[in-house]
Amino acid sequence: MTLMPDLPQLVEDVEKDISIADTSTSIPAARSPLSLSLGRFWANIGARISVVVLLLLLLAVIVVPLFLKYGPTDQDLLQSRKPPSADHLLGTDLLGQDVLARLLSGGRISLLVGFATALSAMVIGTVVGVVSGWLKGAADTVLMRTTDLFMAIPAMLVVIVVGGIIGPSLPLLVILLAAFAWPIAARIARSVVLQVRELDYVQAARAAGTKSVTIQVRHLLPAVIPQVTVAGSVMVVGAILSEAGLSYLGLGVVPPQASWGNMLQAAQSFSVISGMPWLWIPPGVAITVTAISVIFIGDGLRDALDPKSSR
Amino acid sequence: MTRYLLIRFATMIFVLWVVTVGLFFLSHSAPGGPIASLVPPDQVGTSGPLIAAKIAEFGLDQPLIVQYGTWVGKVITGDLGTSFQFNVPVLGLLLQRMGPTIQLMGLGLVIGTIVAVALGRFAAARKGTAADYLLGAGALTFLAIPAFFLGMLGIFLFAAKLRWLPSSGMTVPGDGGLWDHIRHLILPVAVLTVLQAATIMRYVRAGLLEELDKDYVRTSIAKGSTVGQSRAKAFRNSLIPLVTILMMSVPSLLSGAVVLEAVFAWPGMGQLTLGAIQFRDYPVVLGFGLLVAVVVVLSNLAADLLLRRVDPRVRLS
Repeated sequence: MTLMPDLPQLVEDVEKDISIADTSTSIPAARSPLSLSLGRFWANIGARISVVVLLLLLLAVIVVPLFLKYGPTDQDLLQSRKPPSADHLLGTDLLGQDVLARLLSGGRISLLVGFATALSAMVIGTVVGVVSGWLKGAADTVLMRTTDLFMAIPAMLVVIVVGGIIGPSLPLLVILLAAFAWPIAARIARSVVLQVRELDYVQAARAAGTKSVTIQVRHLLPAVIPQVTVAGSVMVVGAILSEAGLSYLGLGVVPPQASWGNMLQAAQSFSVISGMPWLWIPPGVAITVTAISVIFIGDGLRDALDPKSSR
Repeated sequence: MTRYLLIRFATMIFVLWVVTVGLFFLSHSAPGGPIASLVPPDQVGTSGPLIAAKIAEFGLDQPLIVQYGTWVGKVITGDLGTSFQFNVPVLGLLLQRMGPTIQLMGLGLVIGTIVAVALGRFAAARKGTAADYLLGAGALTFLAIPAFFLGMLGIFLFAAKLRWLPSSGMTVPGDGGLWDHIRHLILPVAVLTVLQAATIMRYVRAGLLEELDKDYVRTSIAKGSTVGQSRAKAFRNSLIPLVTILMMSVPSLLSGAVVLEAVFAWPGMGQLTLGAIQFRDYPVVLGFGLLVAVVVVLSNLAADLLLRRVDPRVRLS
């Protein structure tokens, strides 16, 4: 949630020094801009490690639960708050539930919320932004004032109040988080379109009588997607941290369903913090590692997509 | 200027209106409704008159539109209603709990910004060195750590293991001296400081580097100023955009404070609101929402106006 305020700045950055390769001039080099960018991305050690870490995490939360003896909600009250052992690798919580199983189950939720939020926000934002930038005029004004409005409303507050009043639910959480993330994508998509639409290849397509929709999909979208993806990585982190924070406050994912945030909430008392680190260190570290990986991937993408970038 | 202020003001009112409408209708469409929490579950069957009395007392038998109109009319005169939970005016309740929250936020904002400026300047002066890279990576790492986890780590280290600092509350009952209060402030303020510094530092660094690249710095060196003198000029100019960024960071500091209040049992507005949500104490929740909306809208406005004040080139349009 601490990342959300970074997004307006990100929009400004992109709007300020967006750089789109003018593909209308023929490049003699055999490598496409995409392949060059991927090469630059892969040369970034931090980004490369982060991709591996994130893939390992994904693999762990999907595959490892299949081999665990205990499910995330299997209770055994006689085994309450036991330290790690061969039977329970990360110990058990108050209800005797296996912490490792809950950690992995919670990881599914966190990653799901993070990527579902970012993906829906990116899709909505891209559509709005491309249409807005292409049409210009009144439609543009209305759509952009709407994004201004959404960006001026404190998202966290709305999510706290709505989550607290309607009652916590996972789809609601994703919808609310996405509702406050899409304007960022829309602004970025629009600013890219405003620049690309004047380039020769788009003008040529127009002159040749290509349909408006075709131009938007074939010629504008490819320029928009990379920039929106960079913003998307920040949204993934924002959503994961927001979910954790809200679940920690008891307004996001609630037990018995495990989530990294509500595992930390369950461990909030002083005696647990001081005496039972296995209950709260693993979920906290898991959130942090996931968020760092995505941040570094996003950073790597931004540098890779910017031909002028030099570190 | 006048025209700009008028447009700005109209936008502000519009945003606030949208916020109030959204909050109000959502809170009243909740399952159970406000009455569910006022009457003990075992009496619901037998307390028809009680429920009816309560409904009439809080005006809940009116159509929603009327209720909203009444509420807004009162809000404008500073009457935020009466808390279902404590049976006292919401405004007084919020004001009473505002102090502790402002202490956290204000200290975090000031100390965090000072640290951020110092570290950002340091990193910019050593661009490309290991120290610069470490600071950058450190800032990203702290942005990835949830505030509450950082708070729990602080409690683990400084309250449980070292026993230097208290883990919760604002004072020890029976003590309440200044030093006791400061000791309780240290951990939550430290967490907010770290978060604020990590966010702002990267802007300071980037802003300074951009400024150092400009022609006037080179000209100044060419005309005989020392590198130090020229850098000082660039440094002053690089602080201009920071005004906006600082104002924009106020809402995130507020949500950080709400979460940290839960970690450290700090008796501020966040704790009040979370309690009110559990109790379905709508007037308090709405009052808090409104207050936050006003704070956010005002800090956005302050950002614009301050920027114009420190940089006369900025034209407001």
